Amino acid sequence: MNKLALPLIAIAALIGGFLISNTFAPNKLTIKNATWFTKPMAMPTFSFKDHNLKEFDNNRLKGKWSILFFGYTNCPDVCPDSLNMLRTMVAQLEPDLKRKVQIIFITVDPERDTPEKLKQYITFFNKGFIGVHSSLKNLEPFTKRLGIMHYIQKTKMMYNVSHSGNMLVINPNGKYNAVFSPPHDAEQMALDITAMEAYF
Amino acid sequence: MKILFLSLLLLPFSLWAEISINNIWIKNAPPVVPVRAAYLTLVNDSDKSEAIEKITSPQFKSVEPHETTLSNGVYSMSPLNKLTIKGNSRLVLKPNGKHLMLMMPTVPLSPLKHIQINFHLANGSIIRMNAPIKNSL
Repeated sequence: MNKLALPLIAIAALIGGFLISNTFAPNKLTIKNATWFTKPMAMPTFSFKDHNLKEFDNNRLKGKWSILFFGYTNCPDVCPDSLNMLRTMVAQLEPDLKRKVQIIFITVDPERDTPEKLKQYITFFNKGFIGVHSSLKNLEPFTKRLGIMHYIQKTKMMYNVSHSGNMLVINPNGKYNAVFSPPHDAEQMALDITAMEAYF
Repeated sequence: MKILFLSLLLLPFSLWAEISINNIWIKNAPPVVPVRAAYLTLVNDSDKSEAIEKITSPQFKSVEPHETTLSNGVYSMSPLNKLTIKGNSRLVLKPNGKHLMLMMPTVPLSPLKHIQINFHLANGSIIRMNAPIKNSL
């Protein structure tokens, strides 16, 4: 073989690899409804329980795109709409990406939302959605680090929980990479997540 | 004449009231949830302002008008004193805005397809509505 053949093959492979990577991974991210962080943020260390009482910690965020939404089951107006919107959004994703996206509903009302109640609640919207429970003591430092507000408002008969409507996007490395602020649109969110996956 | 008088007595109160109610529905929710939200449009065909004094339901211990607001990215829900509809106008109660909050069910909710809601007006009349339960999307 010619002495030059190996280096030439190597150079051709490099150029080919560069062209392929640029063809399939756009170097510009075009999203409409989300804010993308060029430097993804490390997630605070946490150890919660999912609705099946399995450990839900930082490791559960790795290898998938995770959408974190904070709410509570006694919320009859906003939370059902948000979860229905997320169900519609997931249904619009391509099958490969659908398998890589997980929807995580973290209760901000852990006193009333027992894991059992959370299970019945979240699986009503989609069997694949994950409900997450933690004590308020463990939850508060976590939400504070992520800029998620939640506080109790007492009424005559009961109490409501005011809560942030932001949906956080955690990338497959388990880092906080984008946020969807309300109001949310299922179709645009599906397009934006598809763009994030292509760019990532 | 007697027949006409008797027929008028049989008319539902809602036809005499100056308030009418359209497009009423209840947002579906998992059976485990003890609250529901109701949405509707109140129409006032009179020249003067009208108020709903009280709202009741045989299937819930308490029904209150509430309002969801979104401020600085935070959703809050607060009770309203009462629903008032200005003369010759309408008040729309819709998702993520003003709505009725139905609390503390008196019966199991999962078999229900409709929920009765009674609107008590200042003149003493009651508008009884049978609200269908629907998925929001």
